[in-house]
Amino acid sequence: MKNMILIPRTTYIYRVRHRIMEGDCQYDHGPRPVTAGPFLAGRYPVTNAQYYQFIQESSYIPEDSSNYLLHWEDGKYLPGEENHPVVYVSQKDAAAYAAFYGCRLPLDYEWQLIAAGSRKNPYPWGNSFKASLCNFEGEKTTPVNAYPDGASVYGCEDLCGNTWEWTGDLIDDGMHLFTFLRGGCCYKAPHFWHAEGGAHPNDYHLKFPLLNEGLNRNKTIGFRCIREVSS
Amino acid sequence: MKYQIKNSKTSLELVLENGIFLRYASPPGRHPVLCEKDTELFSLSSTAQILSSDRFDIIGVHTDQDETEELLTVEAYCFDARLRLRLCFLNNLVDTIYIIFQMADDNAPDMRDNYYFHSPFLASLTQYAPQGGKIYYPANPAAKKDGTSAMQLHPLIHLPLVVTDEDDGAGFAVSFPTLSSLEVAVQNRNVDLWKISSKEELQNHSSLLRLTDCLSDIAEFQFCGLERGWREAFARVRHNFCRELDMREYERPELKWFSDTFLHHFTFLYSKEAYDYENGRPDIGRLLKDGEEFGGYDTLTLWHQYPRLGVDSRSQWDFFRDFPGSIPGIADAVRTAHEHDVKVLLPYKPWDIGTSQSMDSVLKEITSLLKDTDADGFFLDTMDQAPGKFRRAADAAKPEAVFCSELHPADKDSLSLLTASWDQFWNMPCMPEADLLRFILPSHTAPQISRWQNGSDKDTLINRAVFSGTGLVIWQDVFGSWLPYSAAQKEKIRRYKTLWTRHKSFFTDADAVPFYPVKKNNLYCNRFMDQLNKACIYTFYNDSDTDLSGILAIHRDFQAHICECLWGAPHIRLEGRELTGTVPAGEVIMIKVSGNTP
Repeated sequence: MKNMILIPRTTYIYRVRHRIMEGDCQYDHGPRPVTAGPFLAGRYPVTNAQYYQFIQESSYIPEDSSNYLLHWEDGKYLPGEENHPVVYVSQKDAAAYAAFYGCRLPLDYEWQLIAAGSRKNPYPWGNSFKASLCNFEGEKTTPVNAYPDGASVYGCEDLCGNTWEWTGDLIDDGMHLFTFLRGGCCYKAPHFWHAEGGAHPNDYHLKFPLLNEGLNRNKTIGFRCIREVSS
Repeated sequence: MKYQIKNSKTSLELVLENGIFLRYASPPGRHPVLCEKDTELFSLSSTAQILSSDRFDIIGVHTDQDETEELLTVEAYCFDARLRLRLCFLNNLVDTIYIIFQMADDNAPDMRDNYYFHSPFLASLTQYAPQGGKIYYPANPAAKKDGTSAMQLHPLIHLPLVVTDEDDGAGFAVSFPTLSSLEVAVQNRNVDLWKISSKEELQNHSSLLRLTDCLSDIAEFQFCGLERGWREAFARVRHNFCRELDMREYERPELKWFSDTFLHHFTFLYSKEAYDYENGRPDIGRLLKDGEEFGGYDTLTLWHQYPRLGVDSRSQWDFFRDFPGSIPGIADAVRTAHEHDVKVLLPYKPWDIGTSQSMDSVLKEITSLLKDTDADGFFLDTMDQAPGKFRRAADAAKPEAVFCSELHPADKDSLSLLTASWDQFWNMPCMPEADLLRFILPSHTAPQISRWQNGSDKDTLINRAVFSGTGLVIWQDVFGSWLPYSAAQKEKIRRYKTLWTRHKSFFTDADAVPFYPVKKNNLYCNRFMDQLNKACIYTFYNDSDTDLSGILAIHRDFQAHICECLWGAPHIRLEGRELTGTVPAGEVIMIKVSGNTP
């Protein structure tokens, strides 16, 4: 499949961190051994142009279209943004896209492997944060291939900053439905009490409580797909 | 030389011989509270020396009088240290004598030393307490077993040092007035004195002065004689505090509804407690039905911004528009609540500052939301103050809209403006505690909440509410942590709500007394009057591991012969003026005393 990269079967000790202001994240954050792969992972997050093509091909219409592709005009992305990650899509929209192409969203621990590799790099490109390798401030997204030097060991790009990425996890702890976002984004809200933005390391996730689709769709959340391959 | 300064309630004797000494005495004809010993009024110390009062030469003593006050002024000078002193005894000729210390340093600014102020007279005041008498320290009028204050203080309300006799009758109160709460920023050091919380702190108090060449207040003691002990002292604090409040908001008939409310639900929408994920909308009907187990919620605070705000640049106002069903969806939820006679508050978050937000835009949003949703007010997240413009914006849309701040209002204007706030606390072992503001201003509705109390901690939370006669915030889903009440706890709250509603006039009456004097160690009591009907409710809490039996407290202030047990399983009798019986270990009980048949 075009622009998909093989992630080999890997067992690693998964440990994920997060900052929760208040409340819990009812999930096993490790350390625990996990085995991920083999699968093909999108080299880039799904772009506006790809999502537009998906709509053309699938005639996908969400049941609740609140804030759906809010950044588009007249049913299409803005000129010049075809290669930017698609945003204002919910986890359901993202899953529908993936399913249409025989793919799915990566689970939290799978995404971490894509970004960190078997050596568990703290950042896709290596050991420490480098401002020149990702889009981590300001409110404007950049093309998904804007930072080729920020690729992970497998060659996947735009994993850090630019837009958060949906994972495929859907946790129902009995009282709540939530999922995880990965990688951080370019937007940083101004206050201590806001959810934090900016770039985040590979072993970090943001708990995202789900509600209605209007609130689930965000200007800062995109996604990438993975595709199962036989071992 | 000796000088008497006295009025109908207070008498001081000033002795100027080899120093400056003072003695307090009850006025003649009253129950005596005496100390035979003259005590030095003040001393100063620095790194270089100790300046006792005899180092100050008396320059002059003079008296003045006008229509309402008498003034005795002592002027003195310490030639060694070049310090000027003016000591004023201002007598209001009614009940209070103000002792005002003023000092100046005549040394060049770069040659001035740091001096610490200490008053041996103040330090000695506990010896005026007779056998069985009681001492209430300003920052700790009633101590818990570990010695810390059981009173939850408020930065605006300063309690006096109170010394009373055994019968909560004769005694005196010494207040330390100051309008500043900043510790080193002002020359008046009373801020140190109203933080005294123990005998040790009283005896060892020492305040760093910041003297200039201008005579300035460095300390002020307001001395007031008491005939009704702690009750009178507390009532005076309330009177002096409340007379400076603008109470118009509290008197507005359209805002009174909030003081009738008891049970407030914090509705975290990212939870199946309130949200129907299958149908993609809040299920207010089911939420309220579940609330009946608590006796029924009176208000809901619909909460769906935090902790999601900040993932993108949407503001809290955008979140309202993105609420399931948008603004009509909120209106729907409000309508459903109203159909059940339940009010709805919407949250406002001052910290959600976007680049385009101005006061005008906030006011417009407040007005629009009230108009478009018919919500009944705003919950002011993290706030302890609010601009008056909020009130005017609400008045333009819905005059009966109430503002309830998360924290107690911290300044007088906000306390005048905000008629409700949470009594929020964080400590888990929260008994015995009483919230000072609740007793100073009972018309300020302040339901109790401690969000992280879990399991049996919630029993303590309920006990605290019963002990203080307040409502509760039911908050079971704390931003994704599900901390439910047990069936027994729900039933307890349901019973308490019924009781509270039936006796609301007691719990909202202005004359509430925290830490009413008791006759047992580890026993704590609050008293709530119904002045109209000459009846009162006592709540007792036994903070020990064993039952406390015998005489618990003395009933005072009106004749009564009926004693009715309202809460717990006490066997309390009123024998003459003595409340006698047993308070079980670790329990709160509530009894009603009246002259009428129940």
